[in-house]
Amino acid sequence: MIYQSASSGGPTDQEVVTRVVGGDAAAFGLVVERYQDRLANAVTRLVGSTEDARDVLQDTFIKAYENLEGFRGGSSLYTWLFRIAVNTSLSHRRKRKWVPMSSAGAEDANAGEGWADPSAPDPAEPLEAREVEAQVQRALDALDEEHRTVVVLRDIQHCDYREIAEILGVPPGTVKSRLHRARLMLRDKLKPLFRA
Amino acid sequence: MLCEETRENLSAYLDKELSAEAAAAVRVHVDQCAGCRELLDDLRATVDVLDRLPRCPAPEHLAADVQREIERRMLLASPGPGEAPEVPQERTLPLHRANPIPRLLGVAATLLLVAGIGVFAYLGRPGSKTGPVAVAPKGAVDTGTEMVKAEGKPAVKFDQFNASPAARRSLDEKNRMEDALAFKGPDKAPEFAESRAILEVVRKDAATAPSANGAATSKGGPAAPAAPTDLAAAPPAPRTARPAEAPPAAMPQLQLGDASKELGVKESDPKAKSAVDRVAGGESKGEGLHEKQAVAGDSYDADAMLGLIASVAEGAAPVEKLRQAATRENLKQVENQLVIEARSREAANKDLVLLFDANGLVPLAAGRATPGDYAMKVPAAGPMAEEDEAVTPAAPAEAAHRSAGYYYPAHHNGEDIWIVVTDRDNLSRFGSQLALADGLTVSRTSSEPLRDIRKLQDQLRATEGEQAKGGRGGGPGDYRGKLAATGSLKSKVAGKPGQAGPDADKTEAPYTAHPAEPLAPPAEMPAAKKVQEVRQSEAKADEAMLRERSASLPAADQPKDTAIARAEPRRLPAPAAEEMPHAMKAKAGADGAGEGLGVNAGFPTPAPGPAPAKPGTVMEKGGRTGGAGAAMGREMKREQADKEEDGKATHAGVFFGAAPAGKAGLAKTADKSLHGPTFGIPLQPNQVILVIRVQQAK
Repeated sequence: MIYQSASSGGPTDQEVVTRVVGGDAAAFGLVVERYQDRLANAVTRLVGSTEDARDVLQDTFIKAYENLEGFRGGSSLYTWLFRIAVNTSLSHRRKRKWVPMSSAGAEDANAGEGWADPSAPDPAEPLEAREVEAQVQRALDALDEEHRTVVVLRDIQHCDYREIAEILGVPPGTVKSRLHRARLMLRDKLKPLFRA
Repeated sequence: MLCEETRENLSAYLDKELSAEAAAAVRVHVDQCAGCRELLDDLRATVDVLDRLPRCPAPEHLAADVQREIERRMLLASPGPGEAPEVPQERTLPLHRANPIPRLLGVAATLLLVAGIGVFAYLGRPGSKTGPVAVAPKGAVDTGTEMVKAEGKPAVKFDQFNASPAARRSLDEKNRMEDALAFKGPDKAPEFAESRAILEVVRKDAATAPSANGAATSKGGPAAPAAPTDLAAAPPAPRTARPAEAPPAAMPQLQLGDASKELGVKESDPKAKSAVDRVAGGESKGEGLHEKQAVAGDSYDADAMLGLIASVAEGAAPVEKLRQAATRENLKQVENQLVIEARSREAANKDLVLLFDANGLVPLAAGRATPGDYAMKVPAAGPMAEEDEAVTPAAPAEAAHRSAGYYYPAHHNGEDIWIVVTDRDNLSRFGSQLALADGLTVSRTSSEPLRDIRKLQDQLRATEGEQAKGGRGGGPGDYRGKLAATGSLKSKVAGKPGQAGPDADKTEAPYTAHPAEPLAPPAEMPAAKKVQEVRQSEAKADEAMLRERSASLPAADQPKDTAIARAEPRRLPAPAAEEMPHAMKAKAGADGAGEGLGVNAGFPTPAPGPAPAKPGTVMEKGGRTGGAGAAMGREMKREQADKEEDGKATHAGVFFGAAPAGKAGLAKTADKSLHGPTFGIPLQPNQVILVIRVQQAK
């Protein structure tokens, strides 16, 4: 591996950013490697499929690279990347949402002919776990984007309210109220999954 | 504290985001209020459910993909041929500029353009030590890297060694885009030379012929710009510069699959992209090329794909498995269903085999279903590794699986089915050739993009009908005969490079699926003659190159323990005369045995006898065939030019087709019992699966 992780004494985020901005394009790989897992988890839940998440993640990092000079270090690189990722995810979903009916129909037709569910879970996993995951994902997908985003950031990504507020560009109070409403909505959908 | 106020704070209480005082108040209220306590429990359970979700890992090779996209954009940011550099701050100069291609090739400007770009890409591929070097202040040149240096500014550095596969792909794609865009439209791109040649004849001889494709016929296209001999001298934009917005290229007429997306350069408003706050605010309109790359499927494993195909072909899995195993990501690659209506299924099958073989596709033989049997083992650093000792071999994972593609017969529900895996370019050429085959009528029930072949067939036939009425030509088959008789397709299919060229053309029967139809060309066909001349010239050059290369490649130098089979010519058992495609019978008769025919006739029985060129055969460019004539000829010439430049003895063949795989990232499917431990439809970059169904014409 070319790069060292930050935990192993590698360069700090700011040092990496400086290198990239200074012309070392290859150094950006360190940024990707450092944050891809954390972003991937959230983005996958936001967009609902691993295939879409791949596109979004790549898009996110490309945008970040192209705009890295605008990163002033006022927030953490992680937060900054997350902000891009969230907005890219939402944009991706919006685009996907506007698929013409004819195309959507074609997809349905294909599905009827045996196309695998693109987000089909790993069949090796226990059936129950797969069902739970699918049900939770459906519940998340059913939320509107602002509630889905905040609940993903908090309950899946474990960001604190301040980070969420920074990522979303909203006051912490808004985060608090949105999160509460999102959980109430999810509660109704997920109640069958609650442990006794 | 009231219930309402408490409930508003319950989530924050759970998250320990309340102040100590507020948290204490909530705690007191919950202890006293069963309803709020129940809600708190529900919220806690909700959070618990979410927390139990498995973590989604990052896609494999994401960093490499991003890096490649960055490199690609940097390349695209450099001005194209004929364009004035927007930011004349940085300069780069590839070595090949010192040895201009035109002098070496001595061919027309069109060829030079492609050759110049090709050499640029060629030099940038892994394994070459003649990569582009920078014009930079002293000490700035870094061996093995490409430096883009601006005065007083830090260099943008391509780590060409570490990112060489990506750089190669980027350069290849740049090459294609340059071709398409510089010629003001992809219908001028070299890979469609054959289609253009055909249509050119049709257009000129029958101006009233209906258009097969609006984009193709409406784009007369200005003359090609001057050859980009100083292409690499054009300064690439610095990292900070945005790629210049390029007009989306129109669909080429026989472009199959999603290749148009690769040709299209769709960039967002640079202003919008440059505003980081707007990006972060989600207002960017940027849609990068990487979105299209995802379609190309960069992260698949060829082994599993081939294993799946083998399973299907051997009856171990129905054809539907191909579809069932498909994920959305692969959908567009698998959905190509080409339905052919044939008057004789047997004849159609044989003709298809001919076309497969002509395009360098390798038949997958029964009993070789192990995916590894089809893996193309190549020197780690690629075919040019022997030239460049300084180049450290690439990672083993990047070293395998190269070929023009594969085909395999299957049978399903009373239909003859061919499963073809090849790259998009090859598929496009195949489509062009298919359009010429009388006996292979593409059904309108084929997948959407493949119906364009039918359009071209209709156009050709309509034109022929008009000519027949007007007594101008010899009726159906004129153009086919005229063009195919002189093209490299026939000679290369016949595996007789030495007989190619005008002399051979005089004696060999023209390629056609049904020779019973009139083949005599009309007396006056200036356009066709021009096409003939061009193609004869190309065929001659190809064959001369091939002979030279063959002579310079002693058998002792061939890799012994790899699956590379020099496919020049392909010495295969001669099929029985009755098994031969119509078009080849005359040829076989003339040649005696049809040696090197390369057609494994018979359906659905897989290729009989010795392995017809080892699975995984790497065909040399010149030995490959046909429809590829023009493009391959140029590539050969580029190589030749490169060889001459470097003063090297030779190198061990030319690889083409998909880039190295070596990436996993398999999408999981619902059926893990399908084949082995991997179950996606894994494809190499730019590969597509084509399912051809041969039906009896009604």
